[in-house]
Amino acid sequence: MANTEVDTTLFGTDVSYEIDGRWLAYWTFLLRLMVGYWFFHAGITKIIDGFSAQGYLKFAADYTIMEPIVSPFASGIGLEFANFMIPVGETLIGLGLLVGFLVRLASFFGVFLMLFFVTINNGWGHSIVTSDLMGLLLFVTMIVLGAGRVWGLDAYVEEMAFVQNNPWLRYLLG
Amino acid sequence: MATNTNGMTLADQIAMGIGGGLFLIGTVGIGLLELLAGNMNPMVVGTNADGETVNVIAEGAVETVQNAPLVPPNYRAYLLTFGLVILGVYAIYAFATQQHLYE
Repeated sequence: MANTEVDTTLFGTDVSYEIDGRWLAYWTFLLRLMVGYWFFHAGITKIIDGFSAQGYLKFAADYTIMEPIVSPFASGIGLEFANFMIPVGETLIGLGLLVGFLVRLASFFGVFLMLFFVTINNGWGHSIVTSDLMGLLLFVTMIVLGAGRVWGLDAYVEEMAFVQNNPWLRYLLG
Repeated sequence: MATNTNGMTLADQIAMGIGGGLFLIGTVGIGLLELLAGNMNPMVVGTNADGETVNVIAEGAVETVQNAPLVPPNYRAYLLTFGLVILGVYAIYAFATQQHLYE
């Protein structure tokens, strides 16, 4: 067993356990590639095939908590912005996760996008706890685990002198 | 950011306790309550004026109600959204103040 020890406190309670570090690293890597491909595919196919978020923003958001936020983006320049940012954002987030670069930053924006997908939910016809919510949680998991450091570019970037001299960058990498 | 971390700041406590707590209440907590109450659907399910079975947000939109959740789905969405916003603000705060960077 390749054991890694977690030793911490949560709200005053000691929490310590051992976990197989080899499987933790392997599964972190696997999850990163899966989530990365999911978003990269979603974004690049929108770019190639063309995409309009109009129906989604105009109708699917009706009566949801996001309606007042997304309605300005359902037409005009707001719609053009959404039609550009959604495919490009999904592609860049997916690419970042696939190559393991700026994984925490990419995952932060992944959570941001997924929050809209979770709450604009076809009138809750798919219930509250959905596969979209699971996807959102996977992005949070990428942030918590710093998944880019397992066979990802972030592992190499973090060793660079520039990052060593500016350690705050590790919040965006990792 | 070591594996062995013991110092839990107020920001950590707010993010984990309130942020994660609201998220869990909106999903798992109310979800289990709805199950115990016998509500299999987070929506109001009923029959409209044309006799069709439909899912709606509010009971007033249907003539007969077959399923009515204890907590409307949008309220649950607010809970999980506020929870996530708190976690997001914590992430930005941790970044801005370099929290736990040198642990």
